[in-house]
Amino acid sequence: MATLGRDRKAKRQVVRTFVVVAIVAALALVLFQTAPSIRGASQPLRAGMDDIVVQSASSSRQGSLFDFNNDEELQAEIERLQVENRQLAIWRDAATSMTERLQRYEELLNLASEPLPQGISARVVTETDGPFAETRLANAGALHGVRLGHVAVNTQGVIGRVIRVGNRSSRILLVTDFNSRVPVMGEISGVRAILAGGSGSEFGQLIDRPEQAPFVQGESIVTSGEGNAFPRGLRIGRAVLSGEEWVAQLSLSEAPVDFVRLLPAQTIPTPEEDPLPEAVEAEPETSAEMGQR
Amino acid sequence: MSGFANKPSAWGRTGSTARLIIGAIIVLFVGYIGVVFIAPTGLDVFWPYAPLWAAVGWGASRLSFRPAGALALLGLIMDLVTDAPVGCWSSILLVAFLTASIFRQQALTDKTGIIRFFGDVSGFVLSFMFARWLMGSYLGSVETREIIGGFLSAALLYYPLRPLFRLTTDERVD
Repeated sequence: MATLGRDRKAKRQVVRTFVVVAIVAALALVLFQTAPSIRGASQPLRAGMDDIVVQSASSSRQGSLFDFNNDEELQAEIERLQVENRQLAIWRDAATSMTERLQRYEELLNLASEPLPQGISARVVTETDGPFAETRLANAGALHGVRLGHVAVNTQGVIGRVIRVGNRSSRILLVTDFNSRVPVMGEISGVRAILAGGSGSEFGQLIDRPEQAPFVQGESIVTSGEGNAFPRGLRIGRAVLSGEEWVAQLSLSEAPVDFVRLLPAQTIPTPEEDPLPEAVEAEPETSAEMGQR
Repeated sequence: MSGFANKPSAWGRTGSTARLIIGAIIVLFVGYIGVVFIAPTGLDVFWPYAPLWAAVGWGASRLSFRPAGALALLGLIMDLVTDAPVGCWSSILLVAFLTASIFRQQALTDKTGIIRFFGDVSGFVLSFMFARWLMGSYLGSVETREIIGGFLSAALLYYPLRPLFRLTTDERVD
């Protein structure tokens, strides 16, 4: 009996040592991941897990236990949508007419028009808010054409950008995340700043302002397009004076995030990156010479 | 008749391996509900960190390799789902497991149940403090309110669910 007791005690000691070593090893693993290159090694595994979560969430929602809608509610919803559809048809006609007029003006002014971004629509199926990341999982991935860096917008404006892509899922880092930085500008004042997350879900800080000029109270804050991460002119919030600090009241907080459009980040190459062919470059010189003669 | 009266229930006849699997399934199911149905409602801050039930319950039952391995695996899944660095939740769960196990020997001879209760509470409290420290160290800062809801609800719900995370048939553990 004494031997049995000693054996058990020895076994407990071995297991206890193993658990302590496992804790230390796990801590070391966490420490190593402060280097982005090492943390990046787990990205395929995380993308795979995102795919599993999105697939199971999508399939669960189809036959949801929490769907208590009855026929009456559905009928009311259909009627509401029909009314909304009729109103939208009027807006569509107005938008078409205005687009045609705008195109004519652009032709008259010989203005280099910006191509309309082709995006992918997706549904946000779940979210993982926590100390590590404020993200949403959307049910479109690499197979649908989503790529790393795509910008996620909804009806209110920019909500974030894609930081990880799986086959059928993508993870969107919200603009409210601690690590999020978006170059923005005031739509009226033109004052530029960096919108930094980490100040809750309603507001974002406006930091690194090169100009001293203030924003206009209530003006729209839009993406400035600097750094080529976000296309220029996408609404992201409103400028609000909080005490003596300008902050952005985020459009993300105006409505629940459900459907999103994932737009490619429009990269405008610099002249050095995209030089003219030699024959074309020679032309201005020739015309300059002709002018001298 | 007395033999019939003392006949163990179906749960009482369940072996430790089956209990380990059932516990893991419960944890995964609660986690699945949290991610799929609760997270979109924004109430996930109060949703319990279910693997803590397993960590404390299994630690208070028996210190062995299999539950430790299972906890490391559950921690890895949590890391991947919550976008935490790999190893973060595994270490938190193992701390809870180790803390709860330290009180086991004394709890076996204590008839009042106070030591067992103290062991369980210590498991939750120490793992919370460890999680707070680890996440704060990794991120630079972390707000307590972001994680305290999950720890508190896990601790409160642990008591009614405690028998499901007992790996032994030894009644003294309860």
